[in-house]
Amino acid sequence: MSANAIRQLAAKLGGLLLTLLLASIAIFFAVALTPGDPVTALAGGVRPTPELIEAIRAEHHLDDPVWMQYLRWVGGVLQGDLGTSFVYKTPVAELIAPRIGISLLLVAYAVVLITVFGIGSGILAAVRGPRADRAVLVGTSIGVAMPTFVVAILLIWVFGRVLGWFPVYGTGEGLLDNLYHLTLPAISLAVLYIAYMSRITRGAIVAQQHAEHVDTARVRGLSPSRIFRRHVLLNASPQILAVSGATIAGLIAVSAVA
Amino acid sequence: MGGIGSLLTEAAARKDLPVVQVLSLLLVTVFVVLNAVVDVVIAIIDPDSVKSRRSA
Amino acid sequence: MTTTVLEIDGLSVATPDGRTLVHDCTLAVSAGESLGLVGESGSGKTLSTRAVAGLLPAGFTTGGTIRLAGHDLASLPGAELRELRATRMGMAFQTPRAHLNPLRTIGDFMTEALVALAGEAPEAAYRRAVDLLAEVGIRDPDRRMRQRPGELSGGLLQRVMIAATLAMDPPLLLADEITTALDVTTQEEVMAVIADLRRHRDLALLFITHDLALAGAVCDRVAVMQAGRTVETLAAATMREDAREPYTRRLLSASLPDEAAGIRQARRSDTVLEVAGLRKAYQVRAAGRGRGREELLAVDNVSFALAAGGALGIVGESGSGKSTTARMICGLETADGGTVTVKHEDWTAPARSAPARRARARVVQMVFQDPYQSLDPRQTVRSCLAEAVAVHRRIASRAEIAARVDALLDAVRLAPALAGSRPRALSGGQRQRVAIARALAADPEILVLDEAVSALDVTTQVEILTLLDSIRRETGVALLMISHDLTTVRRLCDHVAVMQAGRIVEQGPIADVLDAPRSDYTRTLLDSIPRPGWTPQRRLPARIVTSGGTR
Repeated sequence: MSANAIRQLAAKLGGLLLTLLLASIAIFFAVALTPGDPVTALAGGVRPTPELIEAIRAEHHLDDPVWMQYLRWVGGVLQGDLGTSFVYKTPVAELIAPRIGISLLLVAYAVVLITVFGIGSGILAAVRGPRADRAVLVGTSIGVAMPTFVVAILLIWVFGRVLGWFPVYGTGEGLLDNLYHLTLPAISLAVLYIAYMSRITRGAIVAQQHAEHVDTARVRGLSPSRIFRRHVLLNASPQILAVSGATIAGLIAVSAVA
Repeated sequence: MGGIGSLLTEAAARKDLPVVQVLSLLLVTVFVVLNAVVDVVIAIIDPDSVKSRRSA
Repeated sequence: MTTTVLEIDGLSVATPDGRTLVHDCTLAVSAGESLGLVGESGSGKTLSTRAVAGLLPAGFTTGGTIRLAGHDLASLPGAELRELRATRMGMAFQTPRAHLNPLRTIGDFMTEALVALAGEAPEAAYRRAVDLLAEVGIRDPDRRMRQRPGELSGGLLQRVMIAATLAMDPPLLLADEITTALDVTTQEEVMAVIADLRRHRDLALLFITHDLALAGAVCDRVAVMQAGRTVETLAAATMREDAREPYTRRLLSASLPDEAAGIRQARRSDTVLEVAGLRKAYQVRAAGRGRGREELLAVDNVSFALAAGGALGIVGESGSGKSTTARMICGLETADGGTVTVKHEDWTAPARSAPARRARARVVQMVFQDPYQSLDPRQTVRSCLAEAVAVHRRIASRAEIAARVDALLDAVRLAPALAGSRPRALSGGQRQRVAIARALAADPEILVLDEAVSALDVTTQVEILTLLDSIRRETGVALLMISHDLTTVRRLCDHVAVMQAGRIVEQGPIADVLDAPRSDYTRTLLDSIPRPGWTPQRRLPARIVTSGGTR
């Protein structure tokens, strides 16, 4: 690795940390300044007396300036103390821990589906002639047009109720059973992105197929499969990668909110 | 579903601020790190992409 | 007995919707021979070559026969066809930068065919690739093997491409406009490499070009193509005497250095533009190691004067600073030093207000190289010109504007019927006429032509140059012509300044400079123009001058 590459990597890392710092500030202030008093949540349903409110505010440092609250929070997070839930009165880390595995598994499952079927169908559309191209185009048009919740309802109805192939609720026990239970959610999450990735992949590959350097490779007598791998796919990959990075990131956000 | 998603929606609805803040930060972190990894991979495939952006 | 390495007989090429673009291309190249295939854009020379190389767009159909090394290409199945082309011909293209995979190293490119087709071991392929690069005159082949195309100059890339075509020792090289994108001195370098290869390898050459003078200078015979047909084939040495076809004669008169068109005197001696000590520096990252920045002097102490109604050519290669100079005069760049004086006013600083900018635009107008980009594709010729007229004449009725547009069309000899057309429907020459008419709408006193004819075919070039000359006579507008091409400058200008690495190395009346050059660089430029009996020479590349000294 050259000195230049290391410098670039360091710059990248610095930018990343700066982004996270700014994001933490934005998140903390946005949440802390939303209207409504968290004391109601903290009091746990009972109508709080003024003395109780006073006690709660003091306990949670709610009377400190907001920036001090921020510093206390960030300091805690950096030391592994994610804070305590107002509602459950348990550490946030303990709330997240049992759930994060299933979320990661769901996202990973969807990512695999998107990569295999999205990029795969894009490649098919680009290289297998006009008929395959049209078929993929029709499929992706439907995929792009359908809202995720419609896909989910359709899948549950067809594969869950009518055919009964996949479970429609619960997460199962053990990895394989988890995957089995997550199949329908993963598909409904992935459909839109599969369609999107397919279009992007096809476009990137077709652009490279018409690139002049591919003419050079052809006139040199290289085999079509070699030209495809070493000159078309390789050169299309930065574009495909850039889009899939953004796609997967978007998927995580969607899966968290949905 | 019993994943992060339902926890976040529920916490937001019940004003459970610490949970909302931590989960949001977690999502942003994953998002940013993932994009950075993709950028690095692209730079390995196509080193010129980084340079041309600099000098332009 | 000589064998024929390539024989094309009655070749026709048609588009998928049935339009025939090549009607009859017939030619033959013997072993070791060099044949020039000459024609303007649209003549079918490139399509015919692509038919030989198997690079026609999908759906195109061909008729007639192509025999490569005695094999009829139409009779061979795909894999054998690939192998025949891979071993019996090599092809180099016009734009090496676009034709090399930007993501892979020169080493990958050079060894790929050797490893994948000839089955050589990677180490053996590497050694052979280094030898090939050395053969085309690349000095540090080991370093080049590790670099990617983005790190090499156009001239070097063209040599890499030529070297790669030699990997399978083919008896024939197809060279499609390989020097068109290069400076004249780089063109000479590349042609010298080709001449060496032909001598040492007995390589046959099919040299496709729009430049008849170049083809005549480097080829044994020349085939002329017009509107999809090879109209005649001539021996290069005697082509001027033997040419029968009127089209060939027109090409000949357009492309040979025009000695007669020479000294023109400015009618007025008043100076309309004066540039003194002009300087422009760019901050560039320092070459080599270290992270420092250094100054690149793009324009260094440049001084010249343009007489009212005169025509001054600024000649130099890419990177010489000639375009930067023009852009500073037009206010598109800000000078770091020196002065620009137009009609005794100091124009060095950019105009501060919109009215001041318009006032300047009424004096100086610019015509660019690429009318495709400088014209709005959605605007008709008439509305484009009407807009330009309206900008420069504040009070004008519709009828006045229309009359002025008609006058402009007449001035650039465009048929009024074309006024309703959009740029797409026009030829390159017609588009450039529109761009000139738009510039004339301001009634300027100075017209700056930045490579304004470089993208045009030779016969169109001559037409546009003739037009500019008569416009100068009729309106008295002074011309400042920026060009890399001494031949076009000689046709139009009365004075010339030669620029190299940011400095003017020589200037004066055109006849003095071109017929009795005092600087070595001017001599080099003149020597690198292809002409009958030309022997291309290898020279050292031009040096890049930085403020820190020469590197």
